[in-house]
Amino acid sequence: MDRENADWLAGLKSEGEQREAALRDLREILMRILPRALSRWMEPGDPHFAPFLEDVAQETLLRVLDRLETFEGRSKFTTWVYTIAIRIALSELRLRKWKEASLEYLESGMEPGSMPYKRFTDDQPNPESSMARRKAVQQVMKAIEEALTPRQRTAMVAVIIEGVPLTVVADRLDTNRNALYKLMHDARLKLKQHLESEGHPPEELLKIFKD
Amino acid sequence: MSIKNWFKWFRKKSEHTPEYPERLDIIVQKLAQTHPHEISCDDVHMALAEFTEMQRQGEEVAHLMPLVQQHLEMCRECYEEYESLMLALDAEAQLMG
Ligand SMILES: [Zn+2]
Repeated sequence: MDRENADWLAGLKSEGEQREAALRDLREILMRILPRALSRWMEPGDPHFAPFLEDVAQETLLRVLDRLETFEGRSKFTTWVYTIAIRIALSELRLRKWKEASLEYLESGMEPGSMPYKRFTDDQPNPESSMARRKAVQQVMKAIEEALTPRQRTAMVAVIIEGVPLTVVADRLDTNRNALYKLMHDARLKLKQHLESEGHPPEELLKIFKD
Repeated sequence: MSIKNWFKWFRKKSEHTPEYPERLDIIVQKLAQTHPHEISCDDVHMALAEFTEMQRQGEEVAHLMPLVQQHLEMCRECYEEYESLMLALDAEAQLMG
């Protein structure tokens, strides 16, 4: 079972029994390694664990065959396969975990109209908050209002403030994780530039928040 | 999320959790770490095997692959996948080494 990269590729690219043997070996490796790789996500005693592993292994083998040409040999072949299996498994586990969560703010109620951001920080109920902090909050609120599109605002709230995984937000917003990361990156850049142009670079604001 | 909904949401949150507005520091923290050029999750996925193996061999990955390193600091999900890969390689070393 101890194969070099070239053996794996030759086996998987061949036909008949040779290919079947390579697939069997790869599946066996996955079934041994994945329980440990996913140990922070699932208890081995969980009755769903074994069927879940089977599904992940199966899906991984299909994807590996599909992407064989993209393997550049910059790592061990099996390490590359693990990255694929882990991504499949964690994406599914994240979706399951958040399946029941109501994320009503992701539903895009596009009501136009604006409210003065000051109101919310002036009467915010935390008396401990210092003046400088309130001002910093206002500046960030204002930038979020002025610099971002509604979609960027939604993503920002869900991903950064609420900590909802990109996979889950992408699923609800009908996009994919990669596109969502790019949307978030654009949003962060715009916010950062906006705050800088107003004379409040994030590094300075951070000092105020940490005070 | 429209401006109106954003404020409604923010106000509701702040009523339940008085220190909520200060949680905006999470955003500010991320902004301070934002670079003009960042690679995407798919780019990291493609480079993760090489990055992790190099790191385990004691290479200075932060220096050699700074964009991957920066993405892992920004993106919780890619970081989780990196952690799982570390566990997979630990298991491999023990079970099959
Ligand atoms: Zn990522």
